Amino acid sequence: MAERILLVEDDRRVRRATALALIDEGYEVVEAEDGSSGLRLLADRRPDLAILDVMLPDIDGFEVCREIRKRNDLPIIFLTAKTDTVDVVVGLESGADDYLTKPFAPKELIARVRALLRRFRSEPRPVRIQLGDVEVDPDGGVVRKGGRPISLTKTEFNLLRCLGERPNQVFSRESLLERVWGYDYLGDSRLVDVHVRRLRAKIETDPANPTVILTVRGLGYKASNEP
Amino acid sequence: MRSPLAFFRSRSIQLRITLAFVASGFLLAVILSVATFFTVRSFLENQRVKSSTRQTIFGVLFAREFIKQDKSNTEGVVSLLQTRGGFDAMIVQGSQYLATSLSLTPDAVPASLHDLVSRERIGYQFTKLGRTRELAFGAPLPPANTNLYLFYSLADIDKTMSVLLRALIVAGFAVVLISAALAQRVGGRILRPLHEVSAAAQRVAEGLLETRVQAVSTDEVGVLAASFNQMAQAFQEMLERERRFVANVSHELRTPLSTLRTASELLEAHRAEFPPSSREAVDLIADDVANLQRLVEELMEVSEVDAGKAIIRWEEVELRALARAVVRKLRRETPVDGPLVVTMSDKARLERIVANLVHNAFEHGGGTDVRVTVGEENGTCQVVVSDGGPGIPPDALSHLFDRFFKADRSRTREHGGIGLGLAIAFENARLLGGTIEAQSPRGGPTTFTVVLPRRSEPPEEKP
Repeated sequence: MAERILLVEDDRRVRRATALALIDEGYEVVEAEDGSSGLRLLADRRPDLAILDVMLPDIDGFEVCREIRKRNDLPIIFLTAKTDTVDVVVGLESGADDYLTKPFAPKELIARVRALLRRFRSEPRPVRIQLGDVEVDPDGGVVRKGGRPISLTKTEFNLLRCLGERPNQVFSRESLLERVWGYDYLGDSRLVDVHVRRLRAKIETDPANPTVILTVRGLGYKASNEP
Repeated sequence: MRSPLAFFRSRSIQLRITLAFVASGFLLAVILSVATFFTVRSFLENQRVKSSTRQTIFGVLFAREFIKQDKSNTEGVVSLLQTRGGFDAMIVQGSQYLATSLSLTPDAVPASLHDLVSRERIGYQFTKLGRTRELAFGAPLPPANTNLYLFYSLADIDKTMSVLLRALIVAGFAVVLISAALAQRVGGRILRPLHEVSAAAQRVAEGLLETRVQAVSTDEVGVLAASFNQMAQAFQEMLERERRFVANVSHELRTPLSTLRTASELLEAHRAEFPPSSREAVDLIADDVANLQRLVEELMEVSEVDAGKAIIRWEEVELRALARAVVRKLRRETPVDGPLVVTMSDKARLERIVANLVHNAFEHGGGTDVRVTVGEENGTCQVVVSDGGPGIPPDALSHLFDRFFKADRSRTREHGGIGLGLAIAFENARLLGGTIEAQSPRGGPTTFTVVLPRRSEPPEEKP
């Protein structure tokens, strides 16, 4: 069955062209021209991935993104104008997994869509990871902190897994981009920084003084299994 | 023929003011000196004539009395007069004469004085005895054909005058020097605002459009400063309008172009399903839409840099890995060599610089022997992109980073380039605190060297 993509974009021509490119790749596309109809279609059509334009006539893309995250763990890509660099961080903070700056080459969008869907579809090998009071259940997906289950997005989970499988090994931002997002060097290292921040907010006792995911200045990040 | 003045007129105003001041100072000093000199001298000489006349009258009376009593003892007269001092005396009797000084002879008596005395009159005249000026008095004595001459030396007056002359020359020099200094000051004060305007114009020409001059006075120079400011303001506004126009047009083109790009790529993906002639049409559309989109993006970037709105995102970058990733993204097999070089920079901007240079090497450098080398030395790091190509003519080399410059007018259109790529690469290097140098020995391979400061911390924000 074809995977279903929700495309929220207010400019009809851009939306149609993007939809055509995705349909041509074999995806089923659900189109919405504003935030509220996007959210309605999310509930009705249960898409596997969402592509959101930031500039929408009613609710802005970030708000839509936060709303989707409250209800669902599906991969989200947002589209932003190149000049608004602040948008990138705000968008990632709102819970998006990836972003593209307009104008983008359709091939680029399709590559990202494919990478994200593949990651979200694949069932992780069962591993048991114990980092302080944070543990990842071997049966997949469930993360507990002090015994209480906490909910992570797929990307956050993959990031924790990648770091946690080899505690104390330092991963550069580039290698995390490659392992977690499937990008080569040219990915944006802010993806890593923002996701680490979001992950810390969920698993650290005091996110301002992390003890599980540590920053190694000038090099990258590592997970610590010291209690 | 050019007059000598024309030479100075063509030089600096400062020089002309100084020359005018010095010339008037000099003239004034000369006039004052000459007037002083001759006034003082004639005053001193008059004094001397008065006192000498008195002495002479006494001397003549004395001599006449003496001769009346002791007839014809002229010798006695001379020796007695000698004791009085203050003058040299001489009695001439026919061809004989007696004098109190060896250097005194009848030849020393000026002819006109001699004539006067011959006509039985008393008189005086300025003359010279040897090297010294003298005041000569003459008077007839009772024996026939006997005349008395008295010579008063003017050496002391002349000495005074020479001291005075020296003092006047020194004062004259001082006047000239003071005029020169004054001219410098006055000239400087008049010209400083002019220099400021000229320096400001220079800065505007260099691209610092917000340069203004402080208009302090309301005189002609102040008016000039105000006009200059108006002109600079108008110029800046005009450029800003133009920049905004380009930005707006580009922005408006962006959305339809991205639709076109998406649609044309879709058609391209299905090119095999079209008949051959349509296939070529699809290729043409896809190529030129991509070119057009690149042009619009480049225009947007240029106008962003021009508006000073470019944001630099400092982060740690490893140059060799970055260059390799760029080459891979361009789907080239270009070798990338050099050591690991880590610096603080803007990854996206560096990527665009390297991508532009590599792209350029393939499009214009013949595409053979393209290689990228990274390195570091003396606190800088470099990315060198070289090709084996035909080289760049020397006259084109200096314009390489100009906007819309094309070294090879006939061919570039074919490559889709519009001549903004290198200009943007250069602007980006400048934003990162570095520069790009191009070297192309005649007919040889071309080398582009990006030189960037090697930083371990982001630079301080400029206020």
